[in-house]
Amino acid sequence: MKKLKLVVTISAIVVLSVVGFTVAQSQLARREVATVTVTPTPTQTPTPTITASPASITGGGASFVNPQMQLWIRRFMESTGGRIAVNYQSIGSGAGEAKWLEGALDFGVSDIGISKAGYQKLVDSRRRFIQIPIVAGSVAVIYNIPEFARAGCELRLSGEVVADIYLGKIIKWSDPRVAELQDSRCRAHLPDREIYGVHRSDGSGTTALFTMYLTLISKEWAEKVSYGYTVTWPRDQMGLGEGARGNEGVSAKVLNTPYSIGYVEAAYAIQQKIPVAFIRNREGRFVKPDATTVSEALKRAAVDLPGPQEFWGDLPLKYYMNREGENTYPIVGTPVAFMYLDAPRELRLALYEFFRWVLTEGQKAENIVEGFIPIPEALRVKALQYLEALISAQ
Amino acid sequence: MRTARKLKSAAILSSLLAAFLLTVVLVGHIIATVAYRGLAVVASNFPRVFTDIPAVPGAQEVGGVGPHLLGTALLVAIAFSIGVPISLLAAVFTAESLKPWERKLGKVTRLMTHMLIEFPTIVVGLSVYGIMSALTPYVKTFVPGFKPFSLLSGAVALFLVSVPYMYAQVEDGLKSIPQHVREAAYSLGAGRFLTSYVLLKYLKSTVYAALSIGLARMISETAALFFTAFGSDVYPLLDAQVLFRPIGSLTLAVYYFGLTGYENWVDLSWAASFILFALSLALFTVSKFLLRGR
Repeated sequence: MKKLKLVVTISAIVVLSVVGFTVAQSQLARREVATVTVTPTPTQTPTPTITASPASITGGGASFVNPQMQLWIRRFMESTGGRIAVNYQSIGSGAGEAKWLEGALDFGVSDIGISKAGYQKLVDSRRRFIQIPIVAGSVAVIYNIPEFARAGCELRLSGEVVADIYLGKIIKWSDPRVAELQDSRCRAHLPDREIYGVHRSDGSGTTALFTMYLTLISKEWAEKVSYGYTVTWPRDQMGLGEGARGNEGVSAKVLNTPYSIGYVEAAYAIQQKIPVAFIRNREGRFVKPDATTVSEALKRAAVDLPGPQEFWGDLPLKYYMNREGENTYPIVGTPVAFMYLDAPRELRLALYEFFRWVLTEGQKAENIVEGFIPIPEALRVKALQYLEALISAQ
Repeated sequence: MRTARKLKSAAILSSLLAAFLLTVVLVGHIIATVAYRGLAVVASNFPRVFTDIPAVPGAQEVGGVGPHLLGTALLVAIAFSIGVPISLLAAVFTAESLKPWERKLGKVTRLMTHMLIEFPTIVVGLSVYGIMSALTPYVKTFVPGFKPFSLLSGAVALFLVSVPYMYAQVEDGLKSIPQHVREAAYSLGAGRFLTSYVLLKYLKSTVYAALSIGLARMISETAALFFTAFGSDVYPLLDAQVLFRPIGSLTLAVYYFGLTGYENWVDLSWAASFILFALSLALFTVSKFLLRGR
């Protein structure tokens, strides 16, 4: 009897005091003004170093960038001695955007930028925010043609042909439109087999980038399918294709299905050493995705990159993809981080410090995870400019 | 005739044996895989695996699940310390109700709780997230750092997931106590509070078993934590605001690290599964041991 009463009272006291203590502490913390020291760095960089007070930032979104984000977070926290704790969870681009809009996250990361619906919400609620590219990404077209592998041939494709394959207009590998793209030695090795079209079954930024490219290249694709995290695949309806979950799923399906074609995040294809097709770029050259060809595309996009508060949902389609240049890979994008300008000042400073680090130290080779590609200098400088709004905002 | 019977008997016996073997093999396989893959990682990184943060993806070392272990400990401690008194009190209230309105309210409580058991835990998590989001603008005036993704939300979700189990077990136990025990207590002049206390004491082993089941549910819950505790791979700043910050958990670590393609992260996922497995095995043993006393 007494014991039970005692237990109940004690637990009630503990719970109440914890809550009370926390509330009191946070009230106090609110009154404290953030300690901001603006000191000009001695040499070279004219930008002032801003030191935010201890803070904890929470972000979430795209799973593709998660490994890179985790590496950045580790290195950044080491460099600041853990003064700013950054937490990033890979909940997916869509969820990241939604939870950020709902105010549950301090920053979000999405594979292609804030969606149309999300952007409309932001405009309607008159919230001020910025978007910045943080790393480069691209989509590789992968394939499995045993004859080609045996003959040591590599597949060459064009955007139009890829679109027509997934539209179901090109049925077999031996189709003359595929054949004419190949090297004369390899042309004869194209098998008279039906192409099996594999794609992502889950919503993904990779699908969004891939379908954006097809939308840009093929009028028919733009009318019939268009782009998005998920789309309806015409080839599936002919029984000549199917979906698989994740980059892992698509590559496993392609590797295990002779005469298939698929697409995955280029970093993944390179890491797993899956055969990657050459894609014909705007200048008619056949290129594969790698650090140079992807940077070439993004470097050019930096010039006309729209402002940080514009609609970025079709950024790859309008600015990144199919750019000029002989050595430019056409299917590229950048994961985009977004954050509010009307957030509390301490939070903005912490975000500024972290993303400034990401765009400077974070882009150096030693801080880039294998398979990822740093954004080219021109784009990096532009992103840093956009980031300044975090300090100047009121 | 006889041979037919014998055949039938043999057929049934062998199918039973097959079913038994299948179960043993499956359970054995799970245990063996977790132990084999997880124990190796834990052993080779002992004791740093319990304190370190995860290593960077693709590195040689695996790092540790320190933040997740701490998160699980904090989440469970809070959820358990609120959950135990509430589930015990609720069980006593429904089982020992006397007045008609008490009985009615008790019935409603029972019905609701049993419904809550059937709820998918991800729905529980989502609804906690919804409630916390709705509360945020109001609470923000008192606590500026308040966010729907927090240790607090996670603890509330775990509380909602596990309380129905503890409640149901204790309530069943109380109902199984013969009426004369109650009458004996009352006839000695004991009040309702004292009687309930005596009854709970009478049920000691059931209560302990119920609590350890509740504890095991809290430790092994994943879905309810996605949109509440949210997860964190770094240690949170341990100041007064910690209640309102996202926090990691072992189960979330198993999920997120297991899904990646990096070998060291997959290893870490196995390590986290092994720690979870060891924890629930310990709880299972304790509850078996306690139940034996009955």
